[in-house]
Amino acid sequence: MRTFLLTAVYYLAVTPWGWCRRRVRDPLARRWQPRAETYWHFVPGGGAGER
Amino acid sequence: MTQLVLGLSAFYHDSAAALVADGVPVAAAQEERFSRRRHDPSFPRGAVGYCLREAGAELGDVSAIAYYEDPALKFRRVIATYAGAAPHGLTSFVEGLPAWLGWKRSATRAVREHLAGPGGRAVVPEVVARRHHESHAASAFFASPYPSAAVLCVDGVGEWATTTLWQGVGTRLRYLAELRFPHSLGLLYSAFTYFCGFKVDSGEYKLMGLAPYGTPRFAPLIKERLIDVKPDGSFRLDLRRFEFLRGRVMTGAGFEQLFGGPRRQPEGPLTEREFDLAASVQQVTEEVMVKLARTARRLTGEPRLCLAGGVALNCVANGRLLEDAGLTELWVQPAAGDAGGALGAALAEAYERGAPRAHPAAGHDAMAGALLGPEYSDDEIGAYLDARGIPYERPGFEGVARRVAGALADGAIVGWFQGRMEFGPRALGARSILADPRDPGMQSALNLRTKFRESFRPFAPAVLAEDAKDWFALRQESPYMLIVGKVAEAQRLAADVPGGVSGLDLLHVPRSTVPAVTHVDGSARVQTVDGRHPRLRRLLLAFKERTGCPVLVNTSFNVRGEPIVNTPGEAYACFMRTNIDLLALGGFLLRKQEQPPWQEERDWRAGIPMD
Repeated sequence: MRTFLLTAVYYLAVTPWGWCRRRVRDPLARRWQPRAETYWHFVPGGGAGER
Repeated sequence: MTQLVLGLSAFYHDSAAALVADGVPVAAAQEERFSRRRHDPSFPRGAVGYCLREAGAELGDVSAIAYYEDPALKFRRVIATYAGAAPHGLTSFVEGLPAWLGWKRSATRAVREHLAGPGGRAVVPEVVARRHHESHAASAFFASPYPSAAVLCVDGVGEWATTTLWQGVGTRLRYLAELRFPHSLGLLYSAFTYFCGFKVDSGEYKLMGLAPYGTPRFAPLIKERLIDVKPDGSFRLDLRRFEFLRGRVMTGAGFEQLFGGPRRQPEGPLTEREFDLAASVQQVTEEVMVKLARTARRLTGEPRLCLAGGVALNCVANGRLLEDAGLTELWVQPAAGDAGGALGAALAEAYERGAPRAHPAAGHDAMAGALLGPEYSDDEIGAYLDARGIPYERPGFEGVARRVAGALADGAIVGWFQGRMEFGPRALGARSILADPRDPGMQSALNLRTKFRESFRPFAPAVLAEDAKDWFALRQESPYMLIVGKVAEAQRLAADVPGGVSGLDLLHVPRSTVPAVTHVDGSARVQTVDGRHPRLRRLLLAFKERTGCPVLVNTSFNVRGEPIVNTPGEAYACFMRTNIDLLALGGFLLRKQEQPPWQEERDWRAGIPMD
């Protein structure tokens, strides 16, 4: 029963939600960016990004 | 009054506890040593009990409990992963979500309940969650001997971060930059570990050991198709080629298409492909690590680097950092994996609460040689032996050292159980199996008849620190066996590799005067032994006096798949189950031929899972 419910939640809620999120902005940032200089996320206030 | 902070890592793998008193680590141990279950992920009840006993404290004396990661943040990452992978991650979702909706999401509450005990009677101090990479960074920098340094943490994943850069100054860590899941150097390495038929989170060091047998012919393909690396070392993986977002395995069709067929089955034969895959991912890992270290140096201006996270256990890459990353010094946390997160969380909490950090001024690190585990006195050892009628000699430690040195020189394999147990995955001379490195047949004998493990696995040398430069080409000390360097020129033999010899056959080509600790590429994972490991040092002095050689083979006191021994009883059982000739237990000496026949009700090997 639990497996059935989880499967239903997965396909009826998680999948559409994930699909919509990926259309706006992929939370896993999977796309390679050949033109980007870096993939680092600099921490605001850490000062590293300005160097 | 002493401020005590108890650090805990639990519920993923390598659970551990560490106790810090006024900013100084006083006890630390992995749960696997007590439960006898390798990489035990369960609540570290045995380790907590040990830490408190060691300090003569009770739970109520502790100011705070520091948990090594933030479960709420990790839960958000897990949910984002389910959404990101949909519709291809149903299995992972169905199997994993219930636990996450239950206790995992509030693991700190689970910690509190475990500590409170049955009925919740015990008074539990405040439980605080530190971030996973903060725990790693704290374990690396705060325990290091440096007043200030750059800090680099690289692992599989904690909450979101997989790679982080920090600057440590005094009792403060400044967070500079991060790379986020699913882009992870640790997971890239684990994917190849899985594809080559080894166990993830356990077999990575086997893959590292396999690399020198191969040619890195796949490295260009890996960089073209699997990982995009920028000049500053930041990177992204091509997740279409991996399976870990979608299910319970690391690789699938994507790897099979790239690397010519299905993964090697566990325990299956090793072929040139596995050698070359290992060499290739090792080369890529080293290249990325060197770039990351250079970036850490550039962003902080610090010439010294502290390292932690599971990838920091890649001692071959660590050796490359010293050679190529423009550093003056490198310090690697000996418990660099998640077990060390317990110590890091405790240190971070202790310094935030105002504890002093005095050891850099004294010129040493805070790890006490990583000897932070339990110790058994000669009285306790004697009581154990007498109760079981086990035959022994009791020459005292000096006598033990002299006799063991003589036996080693005569070719004996020795179980060496002395003082406090090591914290971290390496045996450093407290729970070690020792042997003569000059014997060309010793590597095979140890692997196949003592450790019952794969023949390709290399062994590490322990060398007197003052003699290290005559035997190994190292740019700095390596007290925790975490840096690989070449065997010194003077000790190398002309590498006369007969035509057609490749793969595991390379093992039979002698390469140095210490062949048992010289890997097929002429390198060695060195432990330089100084006053931090006084008993091993005393033995090395005696061995050198006898043979002129200040080097011994030093491998962990266990067999394949088993945690390193903790108690005299476990040491005795391992001694009797294997072809160890001599057992040195504190001031006691036990000879195999004098022991009564060893009997067990069932096959002990059946109870130890393959690693």
